Amino acid sequence: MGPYNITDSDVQEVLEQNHLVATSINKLPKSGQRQVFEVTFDNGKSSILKFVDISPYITFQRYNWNELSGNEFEQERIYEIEARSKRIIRELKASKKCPILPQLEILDEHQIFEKNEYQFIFYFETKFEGQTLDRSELYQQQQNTNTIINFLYQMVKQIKIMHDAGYVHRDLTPRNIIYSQGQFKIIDAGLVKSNEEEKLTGTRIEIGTPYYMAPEQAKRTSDYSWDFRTDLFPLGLIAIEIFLPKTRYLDKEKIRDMHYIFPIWKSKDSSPKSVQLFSKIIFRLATEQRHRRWSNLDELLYELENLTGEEKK
Amino acid sequence: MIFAQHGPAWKPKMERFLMNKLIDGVIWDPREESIDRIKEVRKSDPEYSLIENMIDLKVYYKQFSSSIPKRLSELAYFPENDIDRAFLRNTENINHLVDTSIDFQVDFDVNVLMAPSLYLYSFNDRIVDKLFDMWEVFDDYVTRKEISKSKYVSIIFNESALENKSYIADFLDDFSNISHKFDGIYITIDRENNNKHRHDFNPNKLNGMIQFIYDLKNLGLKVVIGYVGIESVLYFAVGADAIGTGWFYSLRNFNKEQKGLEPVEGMGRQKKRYTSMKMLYELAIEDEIFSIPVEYEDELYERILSDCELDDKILKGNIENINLNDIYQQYFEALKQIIDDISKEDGIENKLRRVNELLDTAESNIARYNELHPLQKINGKHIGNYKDALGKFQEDNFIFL
Repeated sequence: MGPYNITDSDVQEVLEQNHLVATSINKLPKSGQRQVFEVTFDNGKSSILKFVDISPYITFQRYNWNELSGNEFEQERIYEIEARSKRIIRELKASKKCPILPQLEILDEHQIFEKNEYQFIFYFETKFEGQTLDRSELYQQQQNTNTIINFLYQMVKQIKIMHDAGYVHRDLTPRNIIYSQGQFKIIDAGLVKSNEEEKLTGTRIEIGTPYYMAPEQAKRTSDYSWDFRTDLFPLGLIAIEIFLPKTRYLDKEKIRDMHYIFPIWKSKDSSPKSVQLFSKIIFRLATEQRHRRWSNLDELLYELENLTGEEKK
Repeated sequence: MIFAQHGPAWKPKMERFLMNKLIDGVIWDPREESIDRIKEVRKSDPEYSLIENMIDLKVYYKQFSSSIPKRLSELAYFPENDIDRAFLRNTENINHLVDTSIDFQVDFDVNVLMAPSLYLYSFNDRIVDKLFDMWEVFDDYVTRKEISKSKYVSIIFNESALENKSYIADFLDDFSNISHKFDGIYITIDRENNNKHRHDFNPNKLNGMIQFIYDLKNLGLKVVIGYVGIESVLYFAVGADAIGTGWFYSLRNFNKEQKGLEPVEGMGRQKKRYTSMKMLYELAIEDEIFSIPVEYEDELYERILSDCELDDKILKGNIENINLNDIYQQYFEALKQIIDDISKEDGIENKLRRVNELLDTAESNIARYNELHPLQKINGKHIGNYKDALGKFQEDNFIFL
């Protein structure tokens, strides 16, 4: 059983089930596990329709290899679908509680789309204008320290809102941030976690995008106390990537070695403001030791504001 | 801020410090004096209520079966049984220890409530988890008892623990999960007893210590370090809020043998010393000051004297005229001037700049002293070690002056 690609007629079927009429359906690039469509309705409004594959691939494989009896197959199939659904349901729950994340619209809750043996969760989500950071023009052009400060300021504010709502994102990457006309927005809350939630990941399973994820994500057990500091780490790395495009091709060890990065940073801009940005902010975001990262988001925002103020002076 | 580290023969010294406004608080030692006696003195002298009062509970004496607990044994919170792994495994023991130590401190009317501490040989000691558990119980009890005082955790560790940076990092990583529950931390380092130079500190371990303080500050904690001396200027450079120091050398340098945790040999006669913050060194008055050749007195006195009340007596040159209480006061006076200066500086860069200047001045003053007074050289190796430790700290943390 191979992966199934959702077609325009599948989308049409879903729309009809919900008595919705679209004037256009536009397939967008996949976002992780999600197949994404932009749907425009007759009132001119567009919305993002996402399908998340929760099909029980492993169960089917085991059944085909005769590892499961008929009864076991049904039990395992239900179990696998439930397990695959958990993460997305958690994301949708987080979105409801956390106003900065994309919000559900058109339909109040997610729904299930079945196609033969395949199963998908689907839902409509607010459309954000812009492109993911890695595809944006901002990423393709040289940027100065002001852009970095602006990026960090907006992102830290969003992380603070998530933190206040009790969530940690745990998968911030340039693909999970939308950029449009000076505005940055976190999307894709796939790994958001609240410490009050049940443990959804098994012990020592890596969670996140390895290149950007904080070291504690690779080695900590499922009862680890997550907090916003885990989200600050990728923020530091992404800021470095925006400012220093050539670091995007560094291996994981090098991009995390601040003593390697600093001379490159300084060779691009050795002004006091740039050096201060690195030493006061970037280092204390992208340091591998969690306890050395900023432990107070208000203080971090204040420091960023001060750096913005330096310019005005 | 300077806190007097309570110790033997305390009353006249404290009175003098209080009268001259040389201390901002007292870290009381219930091992040294009966609580009733301390309460009586505090009651009779209102000056004590104007400063911060905190207690070093010294529960860790029960981790050493051959230790000499002195008056600690009289106190309700002090465990009857040795604190070993069996003791720590029993939740009841922990709860009782924490509960009674809080009541004891409330009754003593402290400004800051201190959690019991445990002695760590290393930051990956097996009892670290128990220490964290105890601190959480402490937080829970203080909250339940609805006590609105600052909450400090406290820790004592062997100097050698400062060598392993990755153990310290793991300790801080775990502690950072609960650090927001507390206002501060009180630290004691058990210094190794193998250094003849009273101000020296291995640069690698000293670097570990200042990094530790800086990291704790970045976790939003107030940091108080007990039993320290001149080296504390480096602690203030990285943001320490207060130190505990005292009149005797044993109150400026905690060593578990001298402190009765382990058997000890007798200590020698005390020399009268002048604390020069221009040299970051305590000079023996007779041997190292009064022996200065007359022709160099003007220059070297200028490089030594730190603008203290005792300076007049030093200039008169009669050792008999200088008593031990004079030199204790001079130590506090000299240290306070500099510490107040550093603490006033805004931001870590300015504090570090100020301390780096102090180190440069001390280095050149010691060099000049040794040049002009070759028969009585001052060993200034500690300044080099301080500089190394601070330089590495600045480099590691991308702090540019």
